[in-house]
Amino acid sequence: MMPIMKKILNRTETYVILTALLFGIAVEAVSGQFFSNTGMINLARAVMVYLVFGITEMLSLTCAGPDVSYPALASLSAFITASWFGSASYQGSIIVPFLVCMAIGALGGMINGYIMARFDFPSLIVTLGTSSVFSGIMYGPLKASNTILHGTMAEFGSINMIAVTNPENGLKANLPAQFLIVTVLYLIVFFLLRYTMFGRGLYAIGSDKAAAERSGFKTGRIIFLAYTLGGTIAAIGGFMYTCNVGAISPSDLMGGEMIIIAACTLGGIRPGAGIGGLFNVIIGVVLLIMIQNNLLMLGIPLYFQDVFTGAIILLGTIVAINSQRSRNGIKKNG
Amino acid sequence: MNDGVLSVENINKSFGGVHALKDVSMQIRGGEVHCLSGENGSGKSTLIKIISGYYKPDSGKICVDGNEYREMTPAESINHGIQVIYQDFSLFPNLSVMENLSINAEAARGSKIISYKRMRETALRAVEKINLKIDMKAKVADLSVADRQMTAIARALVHDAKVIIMDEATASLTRNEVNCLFKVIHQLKEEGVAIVFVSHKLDEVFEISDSITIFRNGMNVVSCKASEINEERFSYYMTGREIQSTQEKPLVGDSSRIMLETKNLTVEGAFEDVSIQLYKGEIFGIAGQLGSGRTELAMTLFGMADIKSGEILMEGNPIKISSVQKAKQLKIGYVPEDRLTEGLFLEQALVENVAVTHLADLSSKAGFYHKKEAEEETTQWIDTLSISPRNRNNLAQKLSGGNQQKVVLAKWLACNPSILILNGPTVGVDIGAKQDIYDLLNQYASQGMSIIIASDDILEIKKLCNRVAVMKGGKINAFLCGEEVTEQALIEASI
Amino acid sequence: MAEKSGVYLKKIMNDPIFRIFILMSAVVIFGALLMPGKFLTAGNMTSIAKQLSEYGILALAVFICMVSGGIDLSVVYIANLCGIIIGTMLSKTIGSSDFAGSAAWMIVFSSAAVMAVGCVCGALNGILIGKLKVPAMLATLGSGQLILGISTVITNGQAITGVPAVFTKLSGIKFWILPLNFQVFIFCAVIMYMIMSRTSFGLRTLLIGSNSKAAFFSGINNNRDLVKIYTISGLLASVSGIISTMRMSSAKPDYGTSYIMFSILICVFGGTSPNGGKGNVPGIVLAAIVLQMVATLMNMFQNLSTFYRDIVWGALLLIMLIINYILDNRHVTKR
Repeated sequence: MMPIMKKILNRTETYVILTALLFGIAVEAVSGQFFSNTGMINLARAVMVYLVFGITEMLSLTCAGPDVSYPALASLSAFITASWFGSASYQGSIIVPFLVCMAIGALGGMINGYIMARFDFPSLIVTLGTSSVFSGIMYGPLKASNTILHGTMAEFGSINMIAVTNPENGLKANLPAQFLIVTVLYLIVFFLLRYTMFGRGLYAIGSDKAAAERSGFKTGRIIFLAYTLGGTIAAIGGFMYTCNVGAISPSDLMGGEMIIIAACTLGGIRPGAGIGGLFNVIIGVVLLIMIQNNLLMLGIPLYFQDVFTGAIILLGTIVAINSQRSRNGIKKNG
Repeated sequence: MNDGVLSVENINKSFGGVHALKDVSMQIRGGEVHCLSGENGSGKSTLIKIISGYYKPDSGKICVDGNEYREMTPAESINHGIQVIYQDFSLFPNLSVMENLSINAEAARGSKIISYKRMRETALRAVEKINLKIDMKAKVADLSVADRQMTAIARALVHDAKVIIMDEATASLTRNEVNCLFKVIHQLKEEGVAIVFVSHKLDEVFEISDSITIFRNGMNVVSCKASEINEERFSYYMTGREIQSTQEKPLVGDSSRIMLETKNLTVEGAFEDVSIQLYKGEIFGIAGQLGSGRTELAMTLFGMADIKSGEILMEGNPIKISSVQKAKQLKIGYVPEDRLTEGLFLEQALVENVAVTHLADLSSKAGFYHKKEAEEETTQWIDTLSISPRNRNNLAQKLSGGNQQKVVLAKWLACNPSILILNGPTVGVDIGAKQDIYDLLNQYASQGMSIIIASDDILEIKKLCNRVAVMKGGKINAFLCGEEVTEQALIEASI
Repeated sequence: MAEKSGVYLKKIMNDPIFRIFILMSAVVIFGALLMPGKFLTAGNMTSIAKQLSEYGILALAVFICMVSGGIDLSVVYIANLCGIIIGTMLSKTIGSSDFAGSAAWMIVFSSAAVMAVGCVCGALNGILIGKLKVPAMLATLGSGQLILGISTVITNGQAITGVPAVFTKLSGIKFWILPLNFQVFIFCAVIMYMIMSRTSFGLRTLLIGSNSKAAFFSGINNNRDLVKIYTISGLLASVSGIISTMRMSSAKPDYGTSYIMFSILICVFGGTSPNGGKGNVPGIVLAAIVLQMVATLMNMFQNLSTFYRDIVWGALLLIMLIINYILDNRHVTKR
């Protein structure tokens, strides 16, 4: 019994889950709404898009480092798709715009992937550059602006999977059918990571790129694929978000990279070291979104929320990084 | 043309302006241990990387299995049965033992989907071959260094290898493990596998090899049977000059002046109850294999550890060496084990590499750095230590291992330490520079510097040290002094 | 003979400052040709000089962090916070009707106070990165958010207005033809140059970026130096915030969030290696001038929306990285 307990206590994931539970209990104590059916459904609804973006970020974090370009890419893909298919005149299948959006995301991802595979630049700087290009294209030549969706895409956003009503106060909550997409995505990526050379290669590269090459992995190809896949998935996220909201607001998603990166780190992913997987993304995102959305509930005034979120992110990062304490008294780096 | 399993002919390889391999040919036969030796920078690592497919040659060909190749990919190399065990093992710490063992094979197959069942079978076959007892599910990051080495070796045996190249594979092994390894090598020989053993440790080379090839300056200077060459000719071919092996006795220090003393020193997770004394003007040896605690002890004396119990005294006064800065203040210097990651700034010039430890001395009170002083000082050290090439503006990464080590030595000698600690002073250093470093250490000791050498090189300890503490398993296992310091005694106490 | 000039040419091409100089000349010529009579005017040059100061100082801040092997993504937020604080302080003192003291001293005092705030923010970053071992990217991303949050609390999300005219008029002062802002930038650049190239602290910064482990083993106090490095960064950010508020007579929490990319661009353009251990101040100054010229040139084309600029900057960043890589790393040809 003891060794298992010790192992569990040593993992960052344990503390994240514990914190989430504690927080949930606190909110429940104040509002009585947290663990209700509407509360849970609303939470699931809130984390949906973030979960998707989390995959993109995780792919980049595992083999290289942070990716800050995916909000721009997601917005760009969604915007282009919506401008072509978002009017009332389009009544065809939802599949077509979905695939188109994915294709645009893939293209953007390929640009990231090519540069990252070919050169040894820090991912932060490369993706800063591509982010600028993507958002520039969107706002510049394409003159992106807020538009309401009609037609198929708007309908898609309103399909619900689960609809619940809270018996106590009659509030309703809906879980969009898009949640299914998220589940499918996670299953696919899980399979890729676990059961293909691409997935294992990704971890090997994160661990030691040169060794991975020497072991016979085609590292360039794997990195290229990782970012292409990431771009595609980000586009899916953008698509989902746009349909959900029922309108295109290009600037909505921008600036969201901070939350996702923080969520991944909090959840236990170590950037550029090949440590951490999908489970870490999930618990990190859930914890962070939970906190963000419920600060008001706990009585924290609106304007203080950024401070709070920032502080929690910093605290969580410090704890996550320092949880790998060395087992002896030797300090190798001061 | 070639009755060997693997041969290379007329290989040339350059990096920018550096001609690393000049028209190199070599033949490797099955069922034989072929030793490849040479100083750092002689080209042997480059050749290995070409054979393994990591680099492609500028010209020449590789013949394996009867096929000729102008260049190979790593996957092709693995598929032809060529396996390389690197000095850093090239394992993936974040993956499990089972995955590490089978990953090469899976990658080389080109399969997209992984079958964990197949991987497990591969892994089991691998550990059976060398009778390795290990937890398949353990993450390599949690393994001891010795276990990692054995895992790396087992991985190489997975693929029904025809040629196994061991690149300085014994660098981190204890005597026991080296013996185990040699047993495995003999076994493989019998099965007809060709072994290329890259090493510069004379005793190992002569113990295990059937034939020997020596590289110098990117050229193959001699290929012959092991029986046709002796130690002196070996050194001669390696360095191109006759080495006088001095038979002087190690220096005896002044026992009335105890410069540094530890009493029952204990550091959590590293070593316990260590009590040693360093006399003035001597070279004190801390012997011990990897994991014995010798590196940790050396680092502790340089301020890099939290002491759990016990004390340290300097000339009789108790002191706390709480940080590296404090150690420097106490006039203690430390030449680290791994010069590439811990000792040098590879992309900086020699001037900065030498100046780094005493920038305050080279600057005015206001903090202005006097570059000219640093440059002149570096030139002096280049002369004193015979560092070549003599250009002080050379980047550190351009120097050979021996010269690099001299630079690290220079930066600490420039601080005028009264106590100098060296950890593995001649690891990866060619024979010529080795002797230079030994002569230097003796010279400084005889002028009054007190020196501690932590090393697993028995010959080195025997040559330099009159008094030795042998560590094993985190404790001092034996104290040897004067006549007691023999190879036999050192080996026995460290196993 | 041909061989010798070949070697000489190689040496020149290897010097990052020279590369930028050539680029700058190219831009000037290009600009003169494309917009004859409008580009090469004194008025235009003054405008360029005025605008680039804010970016330039932020770039200097990012520069020192990059050289040490890290980065500071919070500089913009620090600048905004400082701008907000000084704007608020001045509008509540000089700007109020019952102020009876010396405006000049108030300005000096407020500036000093705000620079202290910048130092504190920077020191916070330094502690996170040094003592607490948080990777620079994550630490400054997080602290940036925190500082943004604090700014939001102070201003309730609005912009600060009512900055006294006596303060904002300062930005109009010219010494010879160069505006005050530019003088401040050059002053900061000179100080940074002295620090980086002439002091042992500057050399230590470089070495920490080159190999922080070896620096530690050589007795350099990494943690202490990192705190100093990021404090300087925070200080520079505060200066940028002050002159920004001076110029625009307002400040808000999230102003200029795209500046960070531009600052990184200036650093990379100026020959700073994103991995640390390489970079110099003259390169930064020249890069800032060149890029501001390009920006101004693009502005002159009326039908080009500002967002095209983003595309250009992003593409330019990537291209510069690749060019630097090719020119610096020609020695390894693997496959």
